[in-house]
Amino acid sequence: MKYFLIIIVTFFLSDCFASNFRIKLSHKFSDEVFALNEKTYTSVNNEELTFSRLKYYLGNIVLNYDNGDSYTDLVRYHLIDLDNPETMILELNNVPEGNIKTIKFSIGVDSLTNSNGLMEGDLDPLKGMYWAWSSGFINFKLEGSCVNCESNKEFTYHIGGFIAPYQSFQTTLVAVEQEVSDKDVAIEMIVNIGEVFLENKASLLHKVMSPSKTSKCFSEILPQMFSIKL
Amino acid sequence: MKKIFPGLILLTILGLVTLSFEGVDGTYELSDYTPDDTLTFVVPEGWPQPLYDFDKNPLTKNGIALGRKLFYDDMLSRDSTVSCAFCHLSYTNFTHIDHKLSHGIEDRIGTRNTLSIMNLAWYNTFMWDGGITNLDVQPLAPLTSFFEMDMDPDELITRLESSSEYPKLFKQAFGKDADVSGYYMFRAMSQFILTLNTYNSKYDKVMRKEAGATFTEREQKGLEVFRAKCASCHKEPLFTDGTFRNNGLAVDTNLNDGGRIKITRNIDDSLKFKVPSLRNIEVSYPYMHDGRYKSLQMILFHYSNGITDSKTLDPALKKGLNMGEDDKRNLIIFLKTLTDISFIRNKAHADPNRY
Repeated sequence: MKYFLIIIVTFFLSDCFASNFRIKLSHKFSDEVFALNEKTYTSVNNEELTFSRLKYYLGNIVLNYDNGDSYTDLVRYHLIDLDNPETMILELNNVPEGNIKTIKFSIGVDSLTNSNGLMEGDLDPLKGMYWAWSSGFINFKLEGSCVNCESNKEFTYHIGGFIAPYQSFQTTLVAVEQEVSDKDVAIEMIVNIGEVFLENKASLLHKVMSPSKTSKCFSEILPQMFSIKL
Repeated sequence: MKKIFPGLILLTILGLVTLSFEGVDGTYELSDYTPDDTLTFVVPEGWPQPLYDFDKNPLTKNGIALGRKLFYDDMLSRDSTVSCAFCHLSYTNFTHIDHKLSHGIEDRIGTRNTLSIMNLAWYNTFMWDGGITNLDVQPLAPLTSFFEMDMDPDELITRLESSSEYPKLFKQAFGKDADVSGYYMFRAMSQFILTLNTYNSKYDKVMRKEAGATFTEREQKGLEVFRAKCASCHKEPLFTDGTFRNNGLAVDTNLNDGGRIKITRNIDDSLKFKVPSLRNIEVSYPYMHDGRYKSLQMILFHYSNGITDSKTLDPALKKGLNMGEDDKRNLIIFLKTLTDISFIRNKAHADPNRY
């Protein structure tokens, strides 16, 4: 009888939900695998770049179905940290069946959450993503060095700000063709850091470390980094 | 050298371990976490409602005790030499007297005068430039500032987690699921800081018409000068209106501190700094955001004769404050009635390792 009940429950659940929907983030620099402290990457402007830190908030994930339905991730914000491989996999539970056409998400933390004061988990101020001198989250952090730059080799990009006119919170939509059935699903999202250096030169822009026009413009590039491997 | 903790006695009774501190009311015990054990925050008669959201972080005896321990713990600085109390000394109104600028590890010197910690439940901006907008995240600034405690956040969590006391104290303050984290650490620190309230000076007693509390003639005249010349910015009862103003200090060309413009990037905020409270001003010297004035006499000379004009100078100061020498003397005598001895000598605010 006990086994029978378990079978019934399992059958019921599997009929309605995919048990697991996984988004795996693959960081790239153009076509190369992106890694910290190892490789040197050459930008389109022939700058040779190495990286020591990449951390950012990805959140407000919504899966949009072809029939107009949508599914919202229960976890509001995920802190992605290249030093911490387990943050590169986003698990969405109890995702309904159907055909997903687009994924909407944000890069950074919205203004309401910024105004909320102290928060837990990935939003804990001790995670290194909260400005000590001017309350607010750092949405995106990228640090490294330009090997062939003549002087000022280091670059530090701390992109944040939630108060007008310097909001740097970005929302984007990527196309995907994914059927969700009763089986586990894993999709790969490409995050191409090379996009940051298409127009931007490390030799010209060394530091962005506070909310400003530069910071806002920088944040507008960030959505271009993301795409789904179809 | 590891500090001993004479007030701490580990009791093991019937398998229950309780930590005991010698508090101001004698020894009290930190019991297991009880969610209903919340304390009521007292709003003094005639004061506005506090701005702090106590619903998000209700005060408890255990939370306050944890915050107090953290506040006095040198382990919170990179080389374990300074605690929060290093610059915020209880007996000098939680500031660092005789230090113009904040003093950190390895004798590093910051760029601004340490602000007093008092009555912070009534504030929603912190620091001289108001850059911090929530009390709970305020301690992050001195903790991580190169010039102050220069602490790495990950290292801080590791230290607290590996301490023999803290993991248990976190659970006693916030429940069995409360692991060591910034979230709980900052909440505990806020709880302690929210107990640092001063409203029992002679001024307060006179205002409340308490028996035997009366101003002398000179104090009364000083109050009248204060209300005529100072109270529009240093608004009673907090003795600040919480705004940011340019009070006509000549720019220190070494520090080149633009004040609030750093936060707002608005040119109209250039050279503006927070109007500080005047409570306990007698024991809070030196004065101003860069600690340039050592005495109250120097401040009054500044306001009457030393104003430097600039585009953002506060309109009320365009012509300086016109005060005679008698006015100034009476004003200083009045300002000393804002000293609250019961606050600065309160042992419940002092180092728990000593009291």
